[in-house]
Amino acid sequence: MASHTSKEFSLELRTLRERLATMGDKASQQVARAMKALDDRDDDLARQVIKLDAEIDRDENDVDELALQILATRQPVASDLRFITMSLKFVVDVERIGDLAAGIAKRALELNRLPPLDVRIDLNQLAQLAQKNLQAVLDAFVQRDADKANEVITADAAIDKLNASLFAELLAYVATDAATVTRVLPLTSVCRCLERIGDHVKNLAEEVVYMVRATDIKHKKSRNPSADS
Amino acid sequence: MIRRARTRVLVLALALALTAGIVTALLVDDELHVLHSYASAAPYAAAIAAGVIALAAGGLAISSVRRSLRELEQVTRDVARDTTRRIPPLIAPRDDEVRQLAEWVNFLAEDANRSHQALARERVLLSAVADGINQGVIAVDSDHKIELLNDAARGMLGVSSSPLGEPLIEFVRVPQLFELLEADEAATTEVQLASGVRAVIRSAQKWGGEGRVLLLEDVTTMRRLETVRRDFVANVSHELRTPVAVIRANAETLLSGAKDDPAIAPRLIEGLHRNAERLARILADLLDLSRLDAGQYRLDVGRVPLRAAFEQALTAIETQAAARGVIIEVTVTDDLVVKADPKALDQILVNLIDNAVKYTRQDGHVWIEAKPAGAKVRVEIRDDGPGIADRHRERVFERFYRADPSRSRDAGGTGLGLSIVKHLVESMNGEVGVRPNRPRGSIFWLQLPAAPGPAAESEPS
Repeated sequence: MASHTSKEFSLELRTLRERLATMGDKASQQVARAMKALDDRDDDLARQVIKLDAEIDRDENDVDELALQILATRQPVASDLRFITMSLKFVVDVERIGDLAAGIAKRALELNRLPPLDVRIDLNQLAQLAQKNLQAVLDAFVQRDADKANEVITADAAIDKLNASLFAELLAYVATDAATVTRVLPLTSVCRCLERIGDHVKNLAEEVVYMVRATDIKHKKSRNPSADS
Repeated sequence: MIRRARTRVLVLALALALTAGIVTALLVDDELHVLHSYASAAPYAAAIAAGVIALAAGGLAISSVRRSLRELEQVTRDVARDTTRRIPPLIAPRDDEVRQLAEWVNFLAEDANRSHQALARERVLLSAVADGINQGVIAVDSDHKIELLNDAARGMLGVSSSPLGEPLIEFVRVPQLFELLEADEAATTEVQLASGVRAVIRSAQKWGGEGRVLLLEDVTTMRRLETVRRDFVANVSHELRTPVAVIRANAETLLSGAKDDPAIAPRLIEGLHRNAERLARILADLLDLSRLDAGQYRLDVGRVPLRAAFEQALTAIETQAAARGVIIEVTVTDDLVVKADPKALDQILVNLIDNAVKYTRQDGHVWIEAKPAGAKVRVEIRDDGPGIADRHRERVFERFYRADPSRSRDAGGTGLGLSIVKHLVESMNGEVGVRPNRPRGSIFWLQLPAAPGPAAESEPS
C-alpha cells in the first residue's frame, strides 16, 4: 500500500515537472512567433499568438491546482516541498512571459497598420538573447542544474545593456524624424516587453537555484564587482 | 545427507562396540585425530564410547558438508554475476548431492547465459533496425524515461548524448509530444521542433503497461515543396493573367469603336504590344527553364575571359544605370578565365547586374568583383540598396518568387530571371547564392570552374 502511494506521488511530481517545462517551452514559442509576426508584418500570426495566450493562462491554473493538490494530499517535505512551492512561483513568471509575448503581438498588429520604417531596427538580437536565456533556464530546471541557472542570472545583464542601447537608437531616430514617432513608440514598447521577459527569466533562474540548493538568492546583490556594473 | 552420514558413523561405532566386547574410547578432534584414549570392559563404557565416536564422526561429516556448501555458495555467486562462468567439476568430489546441485546450477547458468545472449542480440537487432529507418522512434517507460531513441529521432530533437534511462523531459520539451504521451487514444500532431525540423508525431502504441512508443516523421522538405508548388501555381497564374487581362480589355475597347478614335487607339495598341511582348518574354523564359530542367539546353562550354564577359554584359545595362544615376565599379584582373558557355555567362551576368541596378537606390552603387577561389573563380555583385529580408533570401531563386511583388513587377522582370541564373550556373558545374551586404544591400555571388592556363592563350571566339 505504501509503495502504491509513493508510486502515485512520484507520478504526480513527474507530471508537475513536465507541465512546468512544456509550459515554459510554449511561452518561448510564443515569444518567437510574436517576433516573427512583427518581422514579417503577419497579422494572422500575431492574432494567433494573442489567441494562444489563453492556453498558457489555462496551463497556469492547471499547474496551480495540481501543486495544491499534491501539497494537500501528500504533505511533502524537503526537496519535494521546495519543488512544489517553487512551481507555484515558477508558473506565475512563465504566465507573465506569455502575456508579454501577446503584448509584442499586439504591437505588431498596430505597426502593420502603418507603413514600414525606412531603416530596419533589428530587435531580433534582443529577442534571441531573451529566448536563449529562457531555454537555458528550462534546461537548468529539468536537469536540476543550479550552476546553469546562475549563468542565466549573470547573462541577464547583457539583455539590459542591449535594451538600453536599442532604446537610445530608437529615440535618436525619432529625434531626426519626428513624423516617425507613432511607428517608433510601439517598437520601444516591444523592447520593454523583451527586457521584462528577461527579468522574468532571471526570476525563474533564482527559483531553480532555490529548488536545487535550498538557498534563497532573491534580492541579493552579487559580490562580484564586474557583475554589479 | 547430513543425517545419512551421521547414521553411518553411529552404526559403525555400535558394531565395533558389540563385536569387540572391550571398547576403546577415543577422544578425537574435528579431523579425527586421536587426542586421548582409554579402554574399558564395562558395558556402559562401551555405549558411552560408541556415543562419543558417533557424535565426533557426525560433527565431522557436518563440517565437511558445510565446507562443500560454502565453497558451492561462493562459486555460485560468481556464476550469478557472470553467467558465462561455470562451477568446476572438482567441487565437492565426495558429496554426490552437492555435486548434483552444482551441476543444476551450471545448467541454470547456461540457460541464463543463452537467454542473455539472445536478449543482447535482440537489442542490437532492434537498435540496428530502429537506426536504419528514416522515421524517428522514441520509446518511453511508464515513468517517461527513455527506453529507445533512434538516430533519426536524435537528429530531429538535437540530442547528442546517450539518454537511455533518463527522463524524456530533460531532452525534449515539446508540449504536444507530452500531450500525446498522456492521451489514452493513439493520436497524431504536427509540430515545429527547436532544431528547425517540422515533424508529424504519432503515438504508436502502449507497451509494457504504461510505456509508449512515439513515431516522428520529418515533413520539413515536404511542407517546403508544398509551399513552393502552391506559390508557383498562384504566381504563374498571376503573372500570365495580368498581361492577358490588359490585352483583352484593350482589344475589347478597340473593337467597340475606339479603333476609330485617333486620340485613344495608339495608346491602346501600344498597351497591346507591350503586354504581348511581356507574355512572350515569360513564355520564352519558361521554355528555357523547362529545357534546362530536362537537360535539353545546349551549352557550349569553353574558355571565357571574365573581363571581356563583364564588358559585354555592361553594354546592355549602361543606359539603364545612367538613367538611375547608379555608379558601377568593376574589379577584375586580365588573367581570370572561366570554363563557361559565353552566351549563358552573358545571360547570367546581365541578369544579376541588371537586378543590382534595378533594386539599388537612385544614385546608388553596384560593385562587381572577381577573384580566384581555389579551382574556381568567384564573382560577387554587390549593391547598396534596401537588401532582401532574411525570410525571402533563401527563396529568391524559386520561379516567380517575389520578395516585394509590387516593386519588382514595376521594374519589369518576369520573375524567372534568378531561377534561370541558378539553373545555368549549376549546369556549368558552378554555384550561386546570395547573402546580405553590410550595412545595407545584397551580395549575389557565383562560382564557376577556372580554366587552366593564361588568358592570352584563349582561343579566339
